[in-house]
Amino acid sequence: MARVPQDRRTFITQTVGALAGLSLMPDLADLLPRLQQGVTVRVGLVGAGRQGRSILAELQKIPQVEVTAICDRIESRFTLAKQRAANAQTFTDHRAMLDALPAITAVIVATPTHQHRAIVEDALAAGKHVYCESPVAATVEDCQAMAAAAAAAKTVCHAGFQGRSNPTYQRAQPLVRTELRDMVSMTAQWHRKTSWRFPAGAGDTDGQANWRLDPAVTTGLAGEVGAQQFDVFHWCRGAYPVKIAGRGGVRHHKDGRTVADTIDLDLTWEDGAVLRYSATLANSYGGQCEVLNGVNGSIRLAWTHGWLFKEPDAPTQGWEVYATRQQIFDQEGIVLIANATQLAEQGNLQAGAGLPHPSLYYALMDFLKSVTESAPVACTMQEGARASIVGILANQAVVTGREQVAGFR
Amino acid sequence: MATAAMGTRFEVVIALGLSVGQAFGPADLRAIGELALAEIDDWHARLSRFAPDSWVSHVNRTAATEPVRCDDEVWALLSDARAVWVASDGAFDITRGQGEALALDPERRTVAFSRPGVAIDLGGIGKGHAIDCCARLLRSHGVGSAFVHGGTSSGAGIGVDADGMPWRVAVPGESQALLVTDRAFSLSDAAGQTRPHIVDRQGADVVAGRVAVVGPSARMADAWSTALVVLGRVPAAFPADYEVRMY
Repeated sequence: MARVPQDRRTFITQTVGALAGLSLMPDLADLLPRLQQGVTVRVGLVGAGRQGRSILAELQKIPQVEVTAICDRIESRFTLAKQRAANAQTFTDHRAMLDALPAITAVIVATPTHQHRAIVEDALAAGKHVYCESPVAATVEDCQAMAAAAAAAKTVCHAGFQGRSNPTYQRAQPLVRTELRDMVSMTAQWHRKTSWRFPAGAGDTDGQANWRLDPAVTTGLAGEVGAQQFDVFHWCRGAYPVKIAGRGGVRHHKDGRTVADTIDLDLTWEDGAVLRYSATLANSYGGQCEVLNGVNGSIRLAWTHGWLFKEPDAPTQGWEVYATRQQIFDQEGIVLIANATQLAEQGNLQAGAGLPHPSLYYALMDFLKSVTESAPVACTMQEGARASIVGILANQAVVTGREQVAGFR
Repeated sequence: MATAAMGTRFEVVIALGLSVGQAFGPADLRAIGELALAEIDDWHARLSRFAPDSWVSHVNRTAATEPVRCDDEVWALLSDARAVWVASDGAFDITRGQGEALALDPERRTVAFSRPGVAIDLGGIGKGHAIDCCARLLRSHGVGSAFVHGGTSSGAGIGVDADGMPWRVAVPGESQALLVTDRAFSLSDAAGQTRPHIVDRQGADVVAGRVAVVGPSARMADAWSTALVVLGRVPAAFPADYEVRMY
């Protein structure tokens, strides 16, 4: 029996949600994806630092996943990691894990970036499905070698560029062409106030704990955080930038580091459109977002949220008349929330409501669906390698001050 | 150092030069403090009932349909919440009056709701839990002197302060400070709130009572201070290793 709306606000959100849902939204499976009953995926996690623990928290939500093994060269990390996967065996070497536990179906790689290649190649050679965190590698050579290894493998190899799996971003991606039309400009930022320095735990060294600040192995802000965002633009535009200019420096954390804590980049596409990118460890205003400005409107994406802002003279497509809207300063945005119909029925549709899971969950779920249901890989290692190379080139632009040329087609 | 989480401001103060086993410089201490605050941010993201992508929202969406797996961390948290619910005769209740519908399966480590419409709200214990995790992380990195609090109403002290004195928490209008050297505290104050935040077992706002609880765990202190404000008395099952002050 249909519920009677409680008040005007509820009535409006439910009604608007239902109409928008009819024309815009796919079914609930996109927001709350599930694996088939009866399957079991035995996972070996390599890398039990902060990202590894976040991955364990998301895997815990998926009943078909058994985390069988946790591997990290730092034994002191096992205590915390085991709290999120109590039955997992622990290993300090990924080859020993692969040899000891042949029943492992899938390997998830969340180590420091420059250590990914050997683990990915060994896991693929052992016939495992592989999910590799982004960026996939710290050098162009490693990226190309990993893409080749993935192409030769018969198993799934998924690169963890999450935008391609995020339902809000999936909602936005086709609108870039249909609603924005010709691209005018693009901006993106990653602003967070943090030192990017980590204390060394027992058995760790300062150099190993702070590999992000080691110029010999790091891809800097451009690679470690920027590449994830650049890939949103690659995917939305169906093309890669052709040249990258950049600059940066240590603006705030003057603790002896040489890796820039603040960078600015210009990534230029073949049609002349430019992505202006800013990343800093010295200020948190605005957080993380990507903005695409076209002649008919703009799309602002912020990982769990997304909005479409239409120009007043843009043609009306129909669906947006009824869509949920949110006022942001003097702009009215159409909320790009997936599955408004069902959420409204559940009383959960609010203006600006975000996704029911973090972006990481959707990327892991896409990987698991590829493993168990042969679903197309949401982000292949070839795509991940290209996005990572863009990040590496962007870091080189910052470090050298020279414009970098990218040759992707 | 500070972060905004769980609707309030969490602060960490680390005393220079009072660390265990090694000498930390300012950059090291900042890194440790940031990691400790990141622990609070992580728990905010997992326990918020307002964020649709939190673990609590996942449980509230799912647990009436199928059991939800818990890892050791949230299992310990839910078990403590259940223990205080039992010991306080339901005065502390993360389901707001539907505690009997919350099924914790210790064998499978799952949480389930026996009927639709049930939801958990860890607002009365989550802040203390985050403080416990934060303090544990500080200790694990050798910090020997620190104080962490969330909105000044819950907190924990590690060691003594920079002057060698016990960490002290003043309660407004009261002459005796709470001493929290290697102890945690929680203060629940229902009096004079413009927006009452505690409800009794019948669902009515509690508008009187001020209770402080001091003990080994901020999580347990948090839950018990709320329970005691609702009860207005200390029950026989109150844990022996905690102190209580009812004002």
